[in-house]
Amino acid sequence: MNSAVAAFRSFLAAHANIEQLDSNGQAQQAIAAALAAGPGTANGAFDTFDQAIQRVSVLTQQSSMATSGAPGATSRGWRSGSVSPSSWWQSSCCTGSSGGLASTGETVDGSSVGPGRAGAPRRLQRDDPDRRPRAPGPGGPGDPVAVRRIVRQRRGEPPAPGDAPRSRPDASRFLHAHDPGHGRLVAGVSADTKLFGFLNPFDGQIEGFDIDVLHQIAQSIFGDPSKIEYRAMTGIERINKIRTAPSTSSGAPSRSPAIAASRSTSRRSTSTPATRCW
Amino acid sequence: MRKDSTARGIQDLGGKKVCTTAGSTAIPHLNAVPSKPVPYILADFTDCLVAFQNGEVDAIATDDAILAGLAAQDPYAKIIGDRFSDEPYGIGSALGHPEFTRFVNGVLDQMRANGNLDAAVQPVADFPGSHPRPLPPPHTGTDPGAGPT
Repeated sequence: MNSAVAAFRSFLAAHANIEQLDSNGQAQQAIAAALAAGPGTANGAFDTFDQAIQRVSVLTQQSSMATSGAPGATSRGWRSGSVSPSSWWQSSCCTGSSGGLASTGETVDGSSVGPGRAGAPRRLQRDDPDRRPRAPGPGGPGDPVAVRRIVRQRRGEPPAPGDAPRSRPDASRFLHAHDPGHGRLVAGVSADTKLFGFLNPFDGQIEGFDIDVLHQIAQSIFGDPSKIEYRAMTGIERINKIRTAPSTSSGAPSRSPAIAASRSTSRRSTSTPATRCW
Repeated sequence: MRKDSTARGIQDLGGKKVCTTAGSTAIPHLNAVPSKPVPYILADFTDCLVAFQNGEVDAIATDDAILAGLAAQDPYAKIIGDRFSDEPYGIGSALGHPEFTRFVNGVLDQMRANGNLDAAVQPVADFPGSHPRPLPPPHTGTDPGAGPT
């Protein structure tokens, strides 16, 4: 148990270091630190914590069986696989950035852990959520609520009632913005305006001039013209969405490009293709 | 307009219901027309088309490319009259991200230079009744004072 608490403290320290780098504007260093593996890194510390918590689980399970003798007790315990802290972090960051229209990220609801950088993640398994290993010291590192929250994050689960609010490491924002393959352009478009944005009933794809321009923008951002999430809406909805889209104080590039391709509703738009009709 | 209409242009639509979409710049233009057509506002142009087909409105007003697309979906409709406004097309981006506006303007500049913009416009220009024409770039940077509208 003590080793688990110590490992968790090490992880928190490494994590704080990353946040510090991020706060100081050293985004590249923060990203490097967040992605690094091995001893002394946040990823390495989390692995150590992960292994320690499994040992705690086994001990708790054995202890419980010895006292209760209940066969059902064998269902307790955690089995964790190769979920890397970075993929947990990715999950956390995706959830944190689910700001609606203006968010980018493969997973907007945090419901999946994502591809992960360290191979395919295996899901943690636990059958009895109320009988988990107890860690000493409420409030501090090792607080069972904090542990539960961390594990829920790793599993990609939403926070349970009573859990502390989910943390949102600042560095994750930069990871998110700079992580190839995890961004997409969220675009409000018309799906019923022929020639501009029109749902082709045969292939289910929206097509037209607006879509062609969006492909070019996505190509320029991501190197992939298909990295677009279309949200079909009316013209007035498009205007309202870009007016109310959440913004970030950091100005992280490509994080919040909500764009609404529009036609006659765009006289005051700041970007204007060289085209007009009469 | 209905194909059997005798109206020759917007000047003949005084008091007639003319459909366009909420938020459209066609609304102030319609209000400025001396013949005083009555703007009839719906959410989408296809809503306007249904209202037109149901006889709820007499006409639909928007730019010629969209009208051409609507007319192609209704063999009993026709496009009449001369243009009564210029309607530049644009891309709106989220407020608070001038860097993204600059980025998109850069992409558009690139598209002008490499011909991709012309290529994207071509299907619209080729469509019967649609006459897009190029404009010089109105902004090379961003104008934070002008909100996306």
